[in-house]
Amino acid sequence: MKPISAGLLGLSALLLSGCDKDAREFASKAAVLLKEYETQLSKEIAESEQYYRHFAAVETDSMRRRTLEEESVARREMADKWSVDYIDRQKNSSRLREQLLEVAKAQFEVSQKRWLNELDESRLYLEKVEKLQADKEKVEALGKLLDSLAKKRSLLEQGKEIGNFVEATKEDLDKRICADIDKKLADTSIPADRKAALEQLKKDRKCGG
Amino acid sequence: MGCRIVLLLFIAGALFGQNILYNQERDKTAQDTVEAAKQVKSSALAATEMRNLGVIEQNQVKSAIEWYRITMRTNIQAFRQWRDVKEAIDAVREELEAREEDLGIAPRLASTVAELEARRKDVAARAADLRKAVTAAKNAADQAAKRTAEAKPSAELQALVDRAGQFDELLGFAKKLTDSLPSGSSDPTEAGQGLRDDLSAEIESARKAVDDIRKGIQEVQELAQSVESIIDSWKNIRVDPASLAPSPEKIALELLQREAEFIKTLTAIRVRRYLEVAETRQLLRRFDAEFGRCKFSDAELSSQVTQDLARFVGSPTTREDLEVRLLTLLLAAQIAARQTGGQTMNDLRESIEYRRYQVSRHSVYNGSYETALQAAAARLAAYYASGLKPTQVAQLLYQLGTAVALPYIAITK
Repeated sequence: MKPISAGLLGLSALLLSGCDKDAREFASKAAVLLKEYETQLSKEIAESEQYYRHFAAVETDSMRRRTLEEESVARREMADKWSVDYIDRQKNSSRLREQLLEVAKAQFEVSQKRWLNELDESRLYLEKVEKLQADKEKVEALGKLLDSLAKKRSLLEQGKEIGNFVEATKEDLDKRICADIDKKLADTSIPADRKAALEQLKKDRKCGG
Repeated sequence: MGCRIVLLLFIAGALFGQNILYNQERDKTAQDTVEAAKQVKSSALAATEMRNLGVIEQNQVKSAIEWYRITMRTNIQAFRQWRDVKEAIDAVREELEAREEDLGIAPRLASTVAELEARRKDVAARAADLRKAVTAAKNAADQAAKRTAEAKPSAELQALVDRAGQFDELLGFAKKLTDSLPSGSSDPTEAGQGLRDDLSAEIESARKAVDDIRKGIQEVQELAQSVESIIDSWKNIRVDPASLAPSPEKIALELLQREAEFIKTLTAIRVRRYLEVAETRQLLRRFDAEFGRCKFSDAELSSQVTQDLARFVGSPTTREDLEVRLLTLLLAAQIAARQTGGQTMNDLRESIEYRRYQVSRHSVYNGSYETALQAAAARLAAYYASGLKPTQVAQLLYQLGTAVALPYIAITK
């Protein structure tokens, strides 16, 4: 291919390459849509986490009140039962302090457990729920690809791409022409003088073989 | 070569502003985008949220049951005097009456059903409008396509290809001619044989030339199809990706479906609450009856329950009285515990169901984003895959040269 033809082909390619402005804008809008989606997911997760924290707080409070209520009712039940036991002589009132110590020990055990637990008891409830997470990595991966498609290629990059395209086109075209020349050279009906011209053409084209 | 470049320049002018040349790197990125878009799904998030709600519900139900048990024990311990028992039950009755409005399930259900029906009709009407609009748009597009079909380069080329088929008929006819020439037996002279050979060679050359022309036209046709696909893919990306989400009508229908499911569940919870209240009312009636059977005097009402019961100990003749008093106490404890427990349980169930409904609404909106993103990625991929490839351009250039040159050679040789 003559340099001028290659130049013209390059110029054509430059025009043909046009600009993918619309596609870049489309990709850019899709990236904005992805951001909106991501924001919505984050909002949803935040809302759910708030709900879980509220649940944990309510449960912790409920548990505390329930424990106090249970202790209270257990005390009353015990007093009720002991009074009957003392009347029926099933319990000896002279050993009252010993019996009270047993109750106190049991209460101490319960308190000890509470003291050893973390201050924020709601964590116990939060541990029961699975952590919510949007597949951030996947969203980010898509975002990166869309950003890359939305990005305008530099003139240098475009020039390089066009150069590669022209080169690939030229190579392909040369292959076809060379194959054509070979075909004609093999044709016995073509006169020798024409064949000589074809041989020259083959040399000019730098056809292999 | 100059002519070829002019042709390329002409095509470039026609398609200016579009990505005409194939770019392998961008095509690869766009294909990766399609795969990445497929991976972006919020269904796992919604599933986790639903599982968490299940865990929370179980926890709350256990907690409510625990309260039920403690309340019952507390009430029993609180029943010191018979008056306390009566007052505790009266308090429950008052609470029940105060919440009478909440218990009017039927009017609430009716309004819910009416609202649902109104919304369904509204969405159906909008869906019908949409169907009309789509039909009209399709008809208009068909008409436009009919009008412009003749002007399309591809149609012209198709006609050329069709005409190229006529060459085959001509060649077939030519072959028949050769075959019908005097055979060796009828014209055994050298002249006759020479004529046959010459004709045969001419026809063979013509066949090759015609084949090449037809091949060239087909190449141009394929190229035109590529250009058409470039234009189509270009048109497809000249929209707002947000418009690729399901139609508002479809989303509305899905939301309506979720809402209908929510209302169904809510109705079941409220019916259950209604039944529980009805059971409590029945217990109250039984309590009133048993309390009446006890025939308490004022002094007995102020007496300690345990002391009052102690009067019956060791006296088999008063067993019936003792049993009625005990039954009254048991009913009283059951009523108080039941009322509190029942309300808590249903309240929390409603709350959980409402949260489930919210999560499912979110998933509808998330799904619409995902659909739009996947469609957008697919359009980008189609756009970048549609560019002219070096081999296509090379083939075009080659065909433009040989399609004219070969017949010329054939004729002038």
